[in-house]
Amino acid sequence: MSDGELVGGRMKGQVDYAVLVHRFERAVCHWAYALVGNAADAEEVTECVFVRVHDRLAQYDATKGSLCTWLYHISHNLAVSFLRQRNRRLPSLDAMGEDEAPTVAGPEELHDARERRTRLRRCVRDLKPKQRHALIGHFVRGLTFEQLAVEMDCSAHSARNWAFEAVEILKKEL
Amino acid sequence: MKYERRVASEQGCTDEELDVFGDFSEAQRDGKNPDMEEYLRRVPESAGELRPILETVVRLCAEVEQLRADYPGVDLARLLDPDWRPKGG
Repeated sequence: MSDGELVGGRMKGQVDYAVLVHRFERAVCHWAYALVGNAADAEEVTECVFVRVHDRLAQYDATKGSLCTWLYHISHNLAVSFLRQRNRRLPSLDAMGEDEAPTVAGPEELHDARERRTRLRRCVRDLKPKQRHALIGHFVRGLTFEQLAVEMDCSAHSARNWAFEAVEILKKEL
Repeated sequence: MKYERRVASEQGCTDEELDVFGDFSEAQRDGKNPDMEEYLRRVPESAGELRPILETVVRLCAEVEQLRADYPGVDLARLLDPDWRPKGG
C-alpha cells in the first residue's frame, strides 16, 4: 500500500491509522531521538506526534510533499517544543537562590517522573481492552461507573470490576 | 446482550470491597482528597489487601494530573490508548 493510499483510506474510514503508525513509528522515534537525546523522551515525543497526526491527517495534502516529509516536519516541531518545555522545567542553578534549590525537582527526579509516566503508558496499553476502557473512562475521561456501564454495555458493577482489575495490574508498576 | 463479569479481580473480591474501591476512586479522581483509612474501615477484614489498591488509585490520579499539565490540549485518552475512539466517531 502506498503512502497516498494509506492516507486516502484513513479519510474514508479509520482503518489505516494503525498501519501508518506501524510503518513510521521507528523513523519518527529516530528523528525525535536525534533532537531530544534519550530514548524515554524520544518515545514521549513519538506518542505526541501520532496523536497530532491522527488529529490532522485530513489536512495532509499530497501535492505539497510526501507523507514522510510531512511526518518529519511534525516530529521536528514537536521535538523542539518538547525541548523548550524540558528546558523550562530545569532552571539554571545560577539563577536560583540557595533557599530555593531544595524545593525544585532535580534532573534525576524529573527523569524518574518521566520514566514512571512512560511505564504507565506502556502498562495501560498492555491491559485487556475492557480493563483499559474502564480505567481510562473513569480516571481520565471522568465518567461515573454508571456512565461507563452504558458505554460498555454492561452493569455498573461490571464496569467497576474492570477498573478494579486494571488498578490491580497497575499496582505492580506505579 | 449485556456482558457481566463474575470475578472481580485476580484474587476475587466482595461487593463491599468493590464499593469501597468505586467510592474512593471517584472521590480521589474528583480531587476531594478522601481519607483512605475512613474508607478502609468499611471493610476491616480486608483492609490490608485493599490498602495497596487504594494507594495505587492515589498514585494513578496524581500521574494523570501530571500528564494533563505536561500535555496541555492533548486528548489524554488517546495518548494512553491509541485505539480509543469517541462513541460514534
